[in-house]
This record gives sequence, C-alpha cells and structure tokens, in this order.
Amino acid sequence: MNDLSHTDEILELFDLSDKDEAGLLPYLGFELNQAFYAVDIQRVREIIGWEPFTPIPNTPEHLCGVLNWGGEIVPVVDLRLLLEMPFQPYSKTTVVLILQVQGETSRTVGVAIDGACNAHYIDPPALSAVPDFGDRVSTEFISGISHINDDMLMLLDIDQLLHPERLG
Amino acid sequence: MAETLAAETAAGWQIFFKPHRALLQAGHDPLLLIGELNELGALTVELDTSDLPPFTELTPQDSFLSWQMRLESEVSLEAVNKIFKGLEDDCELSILPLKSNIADAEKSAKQPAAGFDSGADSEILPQAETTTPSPEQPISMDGKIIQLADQLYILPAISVIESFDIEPGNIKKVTAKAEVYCLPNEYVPLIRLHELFNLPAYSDGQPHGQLLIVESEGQKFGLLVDELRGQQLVVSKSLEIHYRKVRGVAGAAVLDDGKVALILDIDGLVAMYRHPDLNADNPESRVA
Repeated sequence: MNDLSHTDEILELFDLSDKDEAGLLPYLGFELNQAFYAVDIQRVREIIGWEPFTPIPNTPEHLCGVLNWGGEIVPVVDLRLLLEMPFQPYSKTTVVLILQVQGETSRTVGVAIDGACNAHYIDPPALSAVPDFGDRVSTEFISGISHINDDMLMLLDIDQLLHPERLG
Repeated sequence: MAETLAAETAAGWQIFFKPHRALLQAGHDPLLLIGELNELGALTVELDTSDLPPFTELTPQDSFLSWQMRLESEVSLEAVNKIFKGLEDDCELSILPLKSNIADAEKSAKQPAAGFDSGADSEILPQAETTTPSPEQPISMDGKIIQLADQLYILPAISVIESFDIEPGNIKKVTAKAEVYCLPNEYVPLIRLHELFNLPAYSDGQPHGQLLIVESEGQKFGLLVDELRGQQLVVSKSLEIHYRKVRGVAGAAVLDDGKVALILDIDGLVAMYRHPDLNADNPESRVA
C-alpha cells in the first residue's frame, strides 16, 4: 500500500504542483455510485488503502470504525452509506481519504470511497448553483456544481458533510 | 510508531501514584521508587494524606498515602514505567505527558518548591490538588486484553476484581432478560458483552468464555467475554478529539501490531446494561 502524505505530495502525484493556474482551485475527484464528486485538495491530508478498522459498538452503520493515523484515533466513514447509497463490499481498490475538517474545532476524519481519484482545477465563478430539492434531499453539503467533459461534478463541502451531527 | 514519538518528545511526565494498602507488605517501598524517579530529572512531589485514618486506627504495615509528581525530564515513558514494573497489581498509577507550555504555565502559577520532596521528612501538605486529565491527554494504564467475537478490547486492570472460566451451570435466569452468575457467597448480575455491543454470539450456541468480576458504584457485576488474552501497559487516547465520546468506551489504545483497541468504561457498560434504551443508535443515546 502506497500512502501519500501532505497536500504538496498529493498535488505532485496529480501533476499539479508546478502549474500556475491563477484563480483556479485544485480539487480531488472520484466516482461514487455513478455520480462524480470532488473535495478541496487542500483538505486532503493523506490517501491510504482500505484495511479493517476497529468498529465502535452501537454507532451508525456508515461509521466503519476508527484507525490509528499517526498516533491519533481517527474515525472512518463509508461515504456511500453516509450518502444513503447501496453498500459496496470493500476491496483492494477501496481507498480512504484522510480529510481535515473545520468546525468548532479542527478534526481529522477518514472517508472510504470506491477508489480511483483524479485531480481537477475548478474555476469558482463558473460553478453552477445547487438546485433546491426541499425536504426530499439534503444538499447543504454540496457547495457547487461543475462539469468535466459531459459529466456533472459535485463539489463537497466536507465541513458540512462530516459535521459531528451528521456523523452520529 | 507516532505514539512512541509523541510520548518520547514530552517535556516530562505528570505521575499519580497511589499504592494499595498492602504495597508495603508486598515488600515495596514507595520512597525508594520516588527516589529512583528523582534520579531521572527534576522531580516535584505533592503528598496526599487525605486517606490517612485517625491515629488510633493507624496500622503501620498498611499504606495510606498517595503522591502527585511532576518529573521535568526528557526521559522516555518506558524509563518511567520501568520504575513501576512489577507493581501493576499493587497500586493505582497514571502517567501523563508534561508538555513544556503546560509545565511553564503551572510553574509560574504555582511556584512549586524546587528539588526532591518525598513527603517523609518535610512539611506535609494537607491535600494534593487533583489533576483531571483533559480528553487530549494520553493516559498510561495497565489493561486486560479481552477478545469478543473477532475484536480485541481493553479493560482497565484496576477495574477487574477477579476472572475465571465460567461454569455454565452457575448461570441462572432471573427473568427472560436478566441473569445472574452464582459466586460462592453471592449472586452477581451477568452482563453478556456480546449483547451489549450487538456482536455475534457463540458459534456453537453454547455459553463458554471467561467471566470478569467488576465493580460499579459499589455493586459487583460479572462481565462475560470470549477470552482474556493477558495484560499489558497501554496508552489511552481520546475518541473525542476527532469523533465524540461513546458510551461504554473510555478511549482507545494502539496495540503492538498497530491496530486500535477500544478501552472500555465499566460504569458506562453497567449504565448500558441497566438502561438498554441507551444502547440504541440514536442521538438521544449519545453521551454529551
């Protein structure tokens, strides 16, 4: 398992470290249940492979457990289950994004996704607004919509998505 | 490991040492231990005499004192633990990293006497200030490693009065939802940890395993687990920094293989047993 540390290394991995894209923001994109999402690459602390984590009894199903990340006890969330998508068994391609979440305090949370990440530069003024679905679907954790070729790309606001109230 | 790194970069150690009454009878001398600590660095000692009985009830062979110590030194946790090796069953011990900023702040606020003070020949302080560890502070403790289904958990060794293989015939039903285990002179409520944690029960359907007798709020309980795997020194870390407090769980520790094991909280487990509604996966069941 090749673990990638630090934002700079992640930028370098995706060949973005030496690019000067004024005004554009680098995002880490991935596919989940035939939809495309992205997170601010500056919030990605590390990308690690899947391993069985230590489950915490009597917690929501979307909480996979906790892991030892650099000596700290960090929760890991199954993003499919958090977004109420069908469960997909974990495999060698499953990866965990270690994310820095800001709230009342700064927290570190792991997010398990199906695999295969790629990087994109996003132009903030070109983002589309998120439609209001009322009570049917909660979308406050989507900060904007972009597109890559013909695919719609939803930018995740991880502070909202991984808010303690939502993690349970 | 990073855990070791964090421990080894501490500016010193805050040590709480409370011998059990029989420590002296077991051949240990607390003052010698404190003297060994003093050789590791600048040691400040506060003596707690609050458990001393009236003079007429004093039994010289028993230990009633406890000590709160601050060791300002860059020695490793291992070096400190080595001094207390072999005393695991004879004392309460907690060791917290002393960060330099905390040490400096406390130094300026409290102006402690410099140098070694064992409490034996010097002025006896009426009662030491109690240090309440914050959630961020790792705590070193002796832990009983227990197996439950495919997971390992840790119980603070100090919480376990005794442990033994169960005799299935000694398990008696009180009602459909409550059982007791028959000890020689008493009946104790039986807590099946599998059920409390919603884990798979025994593969053969027959009860087996080990019973740990624990105490909460003055009452004994029998905690049924699959297996007791031994005892080791662990460093308890908080779940609250990146997640939240979880009922029945006091923290987590990184085991020798790098895996995380949850450290159980006896009072929390007993509360979950007594009030099953607390176990439900809903916000109301959360611990604040």
